Amino acid sequence: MTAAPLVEIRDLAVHFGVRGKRLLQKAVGHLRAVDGVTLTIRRGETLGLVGESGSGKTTLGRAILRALPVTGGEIRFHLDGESVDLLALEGRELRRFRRHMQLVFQDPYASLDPRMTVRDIIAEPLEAPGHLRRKREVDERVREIAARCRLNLEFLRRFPHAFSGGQRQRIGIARALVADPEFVVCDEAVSALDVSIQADILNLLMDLQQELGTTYLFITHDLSVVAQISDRVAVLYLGRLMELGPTREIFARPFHPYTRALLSAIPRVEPEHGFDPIQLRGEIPDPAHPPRGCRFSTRCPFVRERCREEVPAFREIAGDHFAACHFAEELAG
Amino acid sequence: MTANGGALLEITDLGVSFTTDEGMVRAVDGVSLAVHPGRTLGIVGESGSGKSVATKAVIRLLPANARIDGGSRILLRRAEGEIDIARLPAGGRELRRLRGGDIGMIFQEPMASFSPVYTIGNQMIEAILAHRDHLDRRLGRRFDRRAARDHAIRMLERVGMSNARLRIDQYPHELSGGMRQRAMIALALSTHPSLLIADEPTTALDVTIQAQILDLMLELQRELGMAMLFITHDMGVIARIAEEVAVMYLGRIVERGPTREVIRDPAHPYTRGLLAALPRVETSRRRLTPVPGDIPSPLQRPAGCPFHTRCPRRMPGLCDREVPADTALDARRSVACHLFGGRAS
Repeated sequence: MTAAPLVEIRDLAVHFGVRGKRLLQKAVGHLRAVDGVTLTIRRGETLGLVGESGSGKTTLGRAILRALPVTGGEIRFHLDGESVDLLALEGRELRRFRRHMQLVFQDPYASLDPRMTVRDIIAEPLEAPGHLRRKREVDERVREIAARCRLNLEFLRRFPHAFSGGQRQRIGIARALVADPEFVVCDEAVSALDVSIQADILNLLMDLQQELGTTYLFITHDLSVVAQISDRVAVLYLGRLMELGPTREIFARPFHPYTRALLSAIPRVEPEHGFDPIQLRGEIPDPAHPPRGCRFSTRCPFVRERCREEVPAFREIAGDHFAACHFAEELAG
Repeated sequence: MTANGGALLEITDLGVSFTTDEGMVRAVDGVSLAVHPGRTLGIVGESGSGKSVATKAVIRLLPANARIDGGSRILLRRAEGEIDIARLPAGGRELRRLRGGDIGMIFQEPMASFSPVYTIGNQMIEAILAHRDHLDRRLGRRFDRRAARDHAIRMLERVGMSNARLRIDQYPHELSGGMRQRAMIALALSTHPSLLIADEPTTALDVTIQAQILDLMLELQRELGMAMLFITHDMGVIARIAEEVAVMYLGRIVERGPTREVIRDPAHPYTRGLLAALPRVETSRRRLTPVPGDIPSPLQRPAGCPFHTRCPRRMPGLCDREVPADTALDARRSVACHLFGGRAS
């Protein structure tokens, strides 16, 4: 029943050196931004990735695109019956491979070059190796994707500053999809947009996925958005996966205490939902000094001795529904 | 909205315009509202709605290129009498005493309230001492420097800061985002304002921290009996914190009433559209219902009803010509829409 894997991530780690407070001081430690994440992204699905500040969600998204150095682990793409070891690719091979994966940014204002016309912005990924060369072909492809993204073709000759936030995000999406990538990371792609515009862009992303069969990793801090767009949801906390499962299951029956706290804290508009957030103690710990044992143990309302000592395994609790909590069954019961 | 006798703050016909290189921007256009003691009025709106400008006008914190209309009135009723903030001389003593005294302010970005070069405690103590007379009136006690420090520590403890005695001597940058937000609330409340203006105070925070801060604000409001004017783009936050809501669009209030009723049964097509466009946790993989079109540029305000360019129920010849007047739906609700008969008077 489940679709074939497109991206398989195993034990992925991204650590950054942490400098001391004094200037020019050597690295004094490591920030484990992503620390042992194992995850499969399935062909044609939208996998929502949620987490708060310091969870490492943006770092994880960039690492899968090889947009920053990876410390350890494995990333495999399954394309045309072949399995590609992404971390083994270098130089020209890596550049050629990049057309299979793209990124949609949060801020459509910052991510578009103001000196380029909309046409040139959208066409840019086609300049990578292995693509169309002739201008006429490029123009045709740009017009086709612009039309799919419901952009007025008149706009192609203009510069991006003249456009509203919603239009700019359409340009960003057209640019990401122009080279027909299999995999797109959307990093807070609708977070800067007004609600009335955001709905339109979410619809567009869902429509394009239906038409083109693209796979999305949809990163956001907004749980209502993730509920709306994702087939499955992964919950990240301090660089580790806390929970992963089908969207409906996650929202109806969360296993991990962190997921439960997160969901209870969403301010809902429906009056029938009383607002009674599970109060978490204290602040999100400094990712450079994560707690021992379960990373959530310092704030968990159900913490026990074992949680402070032993890292909980990330395991399947119910069908296709995983959580990293020693007491998941008991607490969910 | 007629019986405003008991209102602490009463704004009548507020208009604010900006002179820019590209022309005149009408940011707030004829806004009237009232905030009552001990209660919260939420203002919800998207980009360009004027919600922030309208509230900045209340404390006269507008940039130099902004102008408040001559006919605007911003009445604040205090025990010592009534003042029209719109008429106070800019940069004058009275305005300075009002800000951070009778009227407290918190913003999305705490560094807007704190200077980076002084400790949290120093800034709180200075604020308390600067508003000594006001505190004398509110609490009936006179603060010296030592008492001000004790009071600051108590306020920091009150907003849930652990080790307040140590933290008070830290600099703002030494605190985490959530702690800084708490410190800003402690700073704003340390002078016991009768009105707190909160402009997107939880927007930059993580959702678990946001929940803590909203709870804290409700608790402190009950305890100190202050009124709140709470500005946000988030309907969910409004539903949580405000008894009453005013929905703004392109500088005008299009609908207002008790929050629950407005959310359950929105009257204005814009409010309806906004609520329909919200992604909901309950439904997954559902197509959403966006409000068609884009928010018009503030440089090109539509004539007539500001929403008519996007309204699915616009009536040509009427909505694009005449500005709809505020029409009462019942004793507590009103809407500015021609569908409800609102003719400009």
